[in-house]
Amino acid sequence: MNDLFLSFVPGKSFLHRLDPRTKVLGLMAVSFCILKVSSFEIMALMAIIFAILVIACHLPFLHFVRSVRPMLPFFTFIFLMQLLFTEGTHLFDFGLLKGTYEGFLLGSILALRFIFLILFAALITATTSPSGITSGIERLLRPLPLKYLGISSHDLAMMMSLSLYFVPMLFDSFRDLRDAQISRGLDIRKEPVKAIMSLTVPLVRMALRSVDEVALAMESRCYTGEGRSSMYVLEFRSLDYALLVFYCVLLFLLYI
Amino acid sequence: MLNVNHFQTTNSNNIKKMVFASLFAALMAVGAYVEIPIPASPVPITLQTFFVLLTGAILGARWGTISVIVYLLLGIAGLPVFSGGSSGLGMIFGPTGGFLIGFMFGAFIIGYLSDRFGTKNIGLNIAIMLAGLSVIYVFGILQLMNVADLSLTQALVLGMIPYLPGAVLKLIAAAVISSRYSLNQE
Repeated sequence: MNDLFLSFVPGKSFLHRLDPRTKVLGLMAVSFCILKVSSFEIMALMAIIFAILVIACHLPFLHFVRSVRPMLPFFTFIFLMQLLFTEGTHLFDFGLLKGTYEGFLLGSILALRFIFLILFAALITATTSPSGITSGIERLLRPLPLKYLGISSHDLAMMMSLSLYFVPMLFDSFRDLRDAQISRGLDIRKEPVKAIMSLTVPLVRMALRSVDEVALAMESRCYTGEGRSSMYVLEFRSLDYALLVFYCVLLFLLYI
Repeated sequence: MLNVNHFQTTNSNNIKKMVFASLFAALMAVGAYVEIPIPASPVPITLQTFFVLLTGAILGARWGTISVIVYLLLGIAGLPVFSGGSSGLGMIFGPTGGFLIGFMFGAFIIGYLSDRFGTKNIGLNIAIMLAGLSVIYVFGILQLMNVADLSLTQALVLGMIPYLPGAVLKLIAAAVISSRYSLNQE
């Protein structure tokens, strides 16, 4: 289950030391900028900024290749659709398939946009621990009127940690169950329907039992969603304030 | 099956639903990894949408929506819980982000209708989940058209038609399961 947390690379660079809130807000600002970009020059500028940040933080480039890979087939489809179905000067012509120059430009801008969106998000998650992001998100959500939903931002953060506990637990119990059933003579390839039944029913049973246990544990420790203190206290430094002002100026310039 | 209660105090129902919502968020995250190849479709089906449909019907509007929100927050926090193991805020703003936003509203619609009409009847469940699923697709297709600059037909070909056979199977399975188990009518 270690690969679930591989997205975080520990370190001591300036991005690591920034407040998680600054980073999450910065990522939002950058995402809005990226969605507005429509020329290759600014794309190149983005790429340079990204490369400088990665090198300054001593992060491996391979890490970012891995974060983009799952979505690449989808981006390729979008690129091909733009290439083949945009009207304009013909670049090539294979009977039914006609590629146009305008389509090529539009398609590559779009694909690059999506790749940069993912890359910058990966940059943030590589430099912030999951618990750091959780507490940052918790603090950012606090002013929202969540109490009309009947829940506090602490509850949401608590539920995020609970899910983080359940995911490896589900994987582990699934592996145990599969081994147990195989050692009792279950052939998954021969009888798939029977295999699904004999794996899911005990898995659901185990999950429900651990829900009961966790709920009992929280209840007996008098869990409440309000006025909780945290182990990691977030604090804004002067660099964080400077960056916040910078985001505001950037977004102001972009939308004026 | 869900009525095995070893304890009962004033606040326990809320805490229990909260833990259940977290479990469903975890199931959605795991479901994105479970790929089942089916014959009549070019893409494998993932269990993510299945759990989104189920969470609305089983947990109801409020906790169903919260469960999806927790799932999205996990993805934003950088855990690889979105389909194919991707994550980050970039996915929400990206071409497939509409589906993720749609999950939230889909779970709410399904939860609201299930609270209103009950979930005992399989036929009714199918109708309710169809409504929820179409909400998910409306959000997904609109964002795909908008962000990736596609026409309606192109967006449908890319984002909806290959997934339809799988979606029908998932919908029926979710409807049958939610007719058996529910936390709401306790």
